[in-house]
Amino acid sequence: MDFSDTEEQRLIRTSAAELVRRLVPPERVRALFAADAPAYCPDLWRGLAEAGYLGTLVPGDGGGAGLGFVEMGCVLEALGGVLASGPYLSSSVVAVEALRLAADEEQQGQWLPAIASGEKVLCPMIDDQTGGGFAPVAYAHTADALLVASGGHLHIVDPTAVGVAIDEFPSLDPTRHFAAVAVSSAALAAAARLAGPIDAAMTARLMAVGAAATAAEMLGVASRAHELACAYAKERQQFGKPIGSFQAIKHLLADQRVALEGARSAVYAALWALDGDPAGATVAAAVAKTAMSEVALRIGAEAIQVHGGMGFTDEVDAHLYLKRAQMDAMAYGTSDHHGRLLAERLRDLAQWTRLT
Amino acid sequence: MDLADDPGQARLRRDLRAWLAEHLTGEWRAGYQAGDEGQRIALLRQWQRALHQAGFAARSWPGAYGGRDGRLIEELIIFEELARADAPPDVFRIGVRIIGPMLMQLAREDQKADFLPGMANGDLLWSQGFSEPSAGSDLASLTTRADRSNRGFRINGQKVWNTLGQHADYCLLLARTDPRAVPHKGLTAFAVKLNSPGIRINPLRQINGRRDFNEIFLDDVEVPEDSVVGEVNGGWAVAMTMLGFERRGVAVMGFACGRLFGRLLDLAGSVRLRETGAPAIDHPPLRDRLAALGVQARIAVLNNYRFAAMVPEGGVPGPEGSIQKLHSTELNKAMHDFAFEIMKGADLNESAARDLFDFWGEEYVTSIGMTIAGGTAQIQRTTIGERALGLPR
Ligand SMILES: Cc1cc2nc3c(=O)[nH]c(=O)nc-3n(C[C@H](O)[C@H](O)[C@H](O)COP(=O)(O)OP(=O)(O)OC[C@H]3O[C@@H](n4cnc5c(N)ncnc54)[C@H](O)[C@@H]3O)c2cc1C
Repeated sequence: MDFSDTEEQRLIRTSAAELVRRLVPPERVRALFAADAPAYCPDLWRGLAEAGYLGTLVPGDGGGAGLGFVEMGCVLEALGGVLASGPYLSSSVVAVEALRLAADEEQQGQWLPAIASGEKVLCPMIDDQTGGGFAPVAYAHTADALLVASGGHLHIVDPTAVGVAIDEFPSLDPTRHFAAVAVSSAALAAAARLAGPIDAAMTARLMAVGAAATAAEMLGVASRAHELACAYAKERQQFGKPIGSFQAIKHLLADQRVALEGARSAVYAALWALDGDPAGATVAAAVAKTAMSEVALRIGAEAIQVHGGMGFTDEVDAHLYLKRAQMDAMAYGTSDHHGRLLAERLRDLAQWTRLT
Repeated sequence: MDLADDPGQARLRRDLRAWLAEHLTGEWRAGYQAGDEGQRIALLRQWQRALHQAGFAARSWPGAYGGRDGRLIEELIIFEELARADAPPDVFRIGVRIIGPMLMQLAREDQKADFLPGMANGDLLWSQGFSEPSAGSDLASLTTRADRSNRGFRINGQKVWNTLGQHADYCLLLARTDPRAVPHKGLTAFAVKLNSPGIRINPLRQINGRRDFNEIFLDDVEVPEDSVVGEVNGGWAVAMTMLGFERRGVAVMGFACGRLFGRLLDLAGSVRLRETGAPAIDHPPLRDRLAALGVQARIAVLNNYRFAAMVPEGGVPGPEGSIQKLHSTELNKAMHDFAFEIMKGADLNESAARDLFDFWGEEYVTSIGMTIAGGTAQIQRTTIGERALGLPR
């Protein structure tokens, strides 16, 4: 039992944060809102590839770093903190895991090195709750291929193929592009598919990976929103004093910190479980996703409140964190979804894994 | 980061579980339940002695002071296993987790040798005499006085809410030695023998019906010069060091929350609701709320391990102790509130349910005190805001 970062984790945490702060200054985030802007910033993608982060989870012999989910979480937390745009979570995390689970050697050789180098982007669509399509899907139209779960298999679908409809729609979150994606059965039949079948346990595993990774990103989002609120509370003066000296504000921010620390414990425990305790990973990820969603939404909204009228102007970034958190809260299972999962598995929830 | 036990930790857990299975028998529990207050304290002293002999008490302390030179994380594993096993109340916690660690940092060598081994092995029960009727949150305003006398100091004043003082051997007491200095600079800490002449201890009836805490009246109590702990007029440093350890000590409540969640599931499984005639756990809205509490209970356990990894061995816990304390004491309250929520819906025509109603009612009321003791929840928020977030006063 050792809940401290290894030397390597500490290094990744600090260097990833430094890199993304340099590559994604706030004006970069906003530059992407323009109608003719690219979906995400190519500089960032190149920078992440060069630092080796796109291949954090890709095995060493597949051109990656061969590291674990905790290390990946350090990168995603940093990305969340600057509201970075880009398909990191889908391509370098969930798609890589899908390839590890269901691709044969040749398919892995074809995709994994290309994902690690940033040359190719895969867009996984695992979570089909309606049977009719997938929505919201992030960065579908810019992907090199869609990885579509259907009929017990993962199909590799060309997004420009006939029978594929990608309907971009304006979501609350201006920092990312979302679409509703429908793939016709003819398009699925025509597409290649990963060699191995994908069963319920594998789908649950991919959902747990996606949920824990989304929670890691939200941890970065919420931490930064909290920092912005604290900074403003020190600087903004009313009644002749900084507003952070008022207990109503001070205690609200203290409660944020308590909630944030708890969520951090849950998020890193879930990331660890994906490697260290696979049997407990689904419950651990559900704990992380529900706890983190609640905290990120609350801090996002309160950060606006702490900024007062300025917080309601587009110019202050606080609202961007709330909007990112709202869309993240939908990804890989809503709080309602994970809450129900846990309510069905109360005994597992009570079973803190190391106590067996 | 590895949330699995390493081989040594796993061995410790196994050994402790085996030891508990052997020593914490149904017979022991029955004897404890049947005892009056005095008998219970005597049993708890024996219990501490046995735990200590087996190497499970004060494990992180140096061997010279009655410890086992263990690491902090081993102590957490022990706390977690004790919570899991519903071990008897830890009345030595004030000495072992609050006063002892402070002594190691601030006391003279002879005091460490005199006091620490006894705290660890159950010989010396300690209490903490900080609060006074007009000085609680504003501790620095306390008015109990210690004036120079020919043998040392003469103490006069009153303490209140002093936990376990009626059974304790010693009290770590804070008194004013320099009335002219600014409030927190004129205080001195004393190790006071509670059987000293001039001390009167009056147990107070609490809202849960128990009498765990006391008023202490001090009337010309003579204490020797060498009972001063730390520097004369250096009592504030003693108090702050103790409060740092106290927050971490109370945070062990995180493990209690983990255990409490399992007990809530048992409760919800055994109690039938008046309206449905079925066990509470079959009622979907209650399951949803249990899941939400379970999420936070797991977080409380995780926080303990994560925060422990942040404090260097032998260091004084910083404001992160307040974060843990606030989370776990508020959660403890919410979980007990929920337990009583179940009982309010229970079919009380069954006498077993009425017994549970009584038991959880008392536990619920008890949980309310934990956001007051050791610095109120409001004071913790202020501490977090100012010391962890750097917000202005
Ligand atoms: C179960 C239990 C065990 C205890 N054991 C011990 C013990 O062993 N030894 C010991 O010395 N003491 C002990 N105490 C006392 C405890 O430390 C005090 O009760 C506590 O510090 C609060 O002080 P007070 O009761 O005077 O409340 P007050 O300080 O009068 O506070 C009253 C209310 O006002 C709020 N308040 C006060 N100041 C502020 C502020 N600046 N900002 C915002 N809100 C504020 C408080 O949060 C509280 O809600 C114990 C208390 C309890 C309940």
